[in-house]
Parts: sequence; C-alpha cells; structure tokens
Amino acid sequence: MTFKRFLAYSSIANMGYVLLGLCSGSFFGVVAAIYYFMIYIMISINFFSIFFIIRRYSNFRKFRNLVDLASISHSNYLLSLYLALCILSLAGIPPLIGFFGKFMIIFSLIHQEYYFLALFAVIFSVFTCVYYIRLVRFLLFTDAHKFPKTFLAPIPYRHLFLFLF
Amino acid sequence: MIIVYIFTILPKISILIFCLKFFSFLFYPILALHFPLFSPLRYIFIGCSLISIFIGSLGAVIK
Repeated sequence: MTFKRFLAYSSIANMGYVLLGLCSGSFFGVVAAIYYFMIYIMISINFFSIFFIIRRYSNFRKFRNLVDLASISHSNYLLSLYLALCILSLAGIPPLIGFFGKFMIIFSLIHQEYYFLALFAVIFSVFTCVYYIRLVRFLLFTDAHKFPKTFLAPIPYRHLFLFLF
Repeated sequence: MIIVYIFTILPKISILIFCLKFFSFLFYPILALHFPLFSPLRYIFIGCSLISIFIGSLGAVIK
C-alpha cells in the first residue's frame, strides 16, 4: 500500500467520525466534532511535515510504500518515534490526544441515546487500529538493517519543534 | 479509486456547509441546539458518516 492511499482512507474514516459528532445534534456533539477536526488538522500537519523533512533530507528520493518506513528507523530513530506517536494518536490509543477526540464524540452519541451509532464507531475504530498498528510494526519492529539508509544527511534538531504538540 | 476520491471530498464539503451554517448563527449559539431531530439533513449526515467510516476503515485493511 502507498502513503497516498493510506492517507486517503485515513481521511475518509476520520471525517466520518467528525460527521458523527455533528449528527448527535447536541451542543456537546458539535464541540466534540470541532475538537476532533482540530486534532486531525494538527496530526495531519505533523504527518506532512515529517514526510517533507524525509523528502528534503533524502535528496528527494522516491518514498512511496509503507515498507519504506523501516528505513526511517534505521536512519533516524527519533523521527520514527515521532511518526509512530502520530500514528498511534490517529488510532486513538488512550494517553494520546486522538483518544480524547474519539472519546468525546462517542460520549456525545451515547448522551443523545444513539447507542447503535456509538457501537458502530467503536467497532470500526478497532478495525482502523489494525492498519495503524501494522504501520507502527513496519516503523519500529522490523529489522531495519536490511534496508538502506534513507537520509544522506543527518536531520538538524531545529526541525523537531514541529512535533511538540 | 474514483469512489475513494468521491468519499474523501464529500464529507469535507458537507462539513464545510454545516460550519458555514453554524458560524452564521454564532451570535445565537442556542440555535445550534435546535437541529431538528428527524430532519432529512440529519439522516443524510448519519448515512454519509457511516458510509465514510465503513469505507475508510475496511478499505485500508482489505487492500
């Protein structure tokens, strides 16, 4: 699978969650939807800034498939850790910010007595977790030494302020 | 892929329309609560969100 397809599917699923928040019709649901939208914007900015940095410092090498992620951890472990945190945040793993967005949306649905929609959201967020966690496995738990180094130059740490939120 | 592109764009357009409507009533926030319970707009929203979550979640797993 390519990054383009991954980001497209991720965007579709996350916009579905935002719409679910709006569907609840309560003020809390609208707030949850806007909150989730903001979180998604922040995580997308993180994603794209990481990929821009990778492209910049790998001398604009073609970097398309998800398997290529393994070479990032070989080149710069800290960057791969940031990327893994972003992915886990999108997946909605509890201590990260993406969890609170999903929690607020599901809570607003339950508050408005849309139990079926809440159940649907929970079940499909588990399905979504499958491919996010598969991505993290590629990123952190594959044997990176089989892959060539991505970066020709080390990344200056002044770029890392982008990932602080 | 055309279906994927359509469902990428469609929810964003509907959110944009909703946000425009919501922020036009910003001075009367209570009106946001008066989103009618059984209006067709609500069913369109629910259907659109369920389809997009379904495609977004299962599409990447199956492919």
